[in-house]
Amino acid sequence: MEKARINNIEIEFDEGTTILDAAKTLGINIPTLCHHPDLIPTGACGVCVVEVEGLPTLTRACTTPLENGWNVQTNSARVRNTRKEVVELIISDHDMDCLTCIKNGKCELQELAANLGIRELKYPKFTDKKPIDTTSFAIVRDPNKCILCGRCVQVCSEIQTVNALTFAERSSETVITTASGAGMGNSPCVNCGQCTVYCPVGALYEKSSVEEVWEALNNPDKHVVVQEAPAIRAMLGEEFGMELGTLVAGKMHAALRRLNFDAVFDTNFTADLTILEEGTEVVGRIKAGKDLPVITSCSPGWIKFMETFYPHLRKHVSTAKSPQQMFGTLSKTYYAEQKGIAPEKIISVSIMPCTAKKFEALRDEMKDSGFQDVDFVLTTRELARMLKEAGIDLKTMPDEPADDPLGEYSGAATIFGATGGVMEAALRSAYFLVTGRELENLDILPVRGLKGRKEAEVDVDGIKLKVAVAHGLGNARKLMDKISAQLANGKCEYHFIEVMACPGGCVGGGGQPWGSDMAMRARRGQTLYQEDKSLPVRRSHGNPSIKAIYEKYLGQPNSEKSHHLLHTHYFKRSQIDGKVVED
Amino acid sequence: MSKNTVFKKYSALVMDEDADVVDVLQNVLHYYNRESCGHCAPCRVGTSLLVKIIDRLASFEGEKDNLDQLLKISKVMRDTSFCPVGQAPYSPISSALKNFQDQLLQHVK
Repeated sequence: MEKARINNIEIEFDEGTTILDAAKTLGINIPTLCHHPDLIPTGACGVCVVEVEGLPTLTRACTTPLENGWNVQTNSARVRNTRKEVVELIISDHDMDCLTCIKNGKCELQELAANLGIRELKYPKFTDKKPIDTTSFAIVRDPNKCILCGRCVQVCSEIQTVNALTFAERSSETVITTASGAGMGNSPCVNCGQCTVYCPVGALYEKSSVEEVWEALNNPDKHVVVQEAPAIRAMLGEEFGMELGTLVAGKMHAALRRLNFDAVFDTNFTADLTILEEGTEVVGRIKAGKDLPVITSCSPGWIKFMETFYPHLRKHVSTAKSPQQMFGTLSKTYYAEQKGIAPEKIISVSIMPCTAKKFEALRDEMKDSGFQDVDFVLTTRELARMLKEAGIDLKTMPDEPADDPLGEYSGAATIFGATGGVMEAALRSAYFLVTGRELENLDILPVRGLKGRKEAEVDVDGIKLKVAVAHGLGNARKLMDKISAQLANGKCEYHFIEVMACPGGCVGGGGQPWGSDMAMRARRGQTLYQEDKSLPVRRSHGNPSIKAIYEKYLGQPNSEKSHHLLHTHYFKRSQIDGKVVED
Repeated sequence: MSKNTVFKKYSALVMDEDADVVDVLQNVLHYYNRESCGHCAPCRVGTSLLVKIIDRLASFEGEKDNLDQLLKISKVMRDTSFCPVGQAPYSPISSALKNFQDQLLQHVK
């Protein structure tokens, strides 16, 4: 063990520990701005400087390893003054319209300025107003608020390996932009929205549909229905100050009713439906030995990534639509028929922890109901804003169930929100579909948890099913490279693969509450597994409403009607601008 | 302006007695602004602001406050910039203020 002193307190530490981390173990939190626990520190902002006795200049705590015998001061007069002046420099090149900013109250720069007691703007802004990038269906980028910390570039390149965002120019002209400055909508961006989660300020955020949804809710001629993704119930509470990981399924349904939605359903219902459609497809393809492995299709960020970077694997991806899109179609067909409502009067809204879902809803082919299947997609953050605007406090809501016939769900559906959940849910039903018997032990632990790539082997009546799970597109890329190589040599070792674009799965989606890190994503995942355990039905094929929809409407899984309404196809996209180049 | 001779870590500017210190500083600060890579905020923002201020002084539109600002900004840059580019402007600015304050003040409105 090495020894040093921080603020005159002796500390023992392992070699290589940064000053920032060492200080944290003493309960000393050194202020930071560009630093994020999930990312490699770059030292871009200069806020975390400390004074090391004997060194001529100040030292960055985030990038400097503590050394034996050092005497570090984190709050000397020199450090405090300098830290303040660095923040004064940074805000001199920042749009100071906090009151009208989407990040008001959640901005890390705002909080830092408040904590450091910044009371005046000393310097004039030296850059000109730049245009806001609204080319994407999902994400807006406002370069006037960007402080060039580089977190978005890091997550886009290092974690997601999409490389849509990059630094360009130098010195005063430095900007973060897309290739050739064409805008995010004309780039390989897959809309995963991780950049919006990691941005400390209001420079990256979702393209909002809040006003459109208000308008629909206030229109007496429209019948507005809503679905909520599995992960929402594990994160919405955070927006209302509830403890991390609080399950708010019932309160969420109640709150949506109080927003005047005409019917409050649940995406979990179509998650169960996805399992039957996708599971039947998987079982059929395994029996026929055709186009293996099968890869899941629930994550629209992953789908665009696959279409852009691995289009040769298109035929391996399940044709089953994502739960959001299945719900959209059924809300304007099955539900409209059951209730005798004209489908053109129905507005289908979804609440998603995701920004890529906005893009998915607007895809040209997602019109199998005869209308745009899903009209508006709101992120968790947008729903929280609507509830706050309406004065609805989630904490005080009663627990209410979702409405029939698109609201009942099993435990298998709720774990869709965590990485490995779709795989686990699919295996629970696939076992039944193959053997006609129920799987005894429902907890398939090897596919749970935050390890980047997970593998398991499941014995289904003598057939050894080899499955793999990847979350985060960097992990997906490694797995796809491996599969591509194996397929080129004739045979792939896997039968079934789950991919989620976002680290942690949907609980870590681009629409999650701001200020999240990996540990928080893991905690939300546990909440979903707890709900799964507590539900009376834990297998998708055991959901009575699923049985009902097949009896009354669809016939059976993968029937002609199912194929028409619940399945889709994929394209090849350009790596330059993300546009479709081939059917 | 005379030749810029580079030693190991330092550089020396040789100039005649008629040289105007604001002119010299303007030249030096624009150089560092051009050379800033833009990665770290103190250097990127700092050199950008220093250039703005020195340009005002050069066109006789500066205020007395600007001299303090030059010193303050360059000192923060010296203490917090990642590399010698951002650390460098403090030295010429502080010595100009120390040795040629009267010349600098002539540029103030």
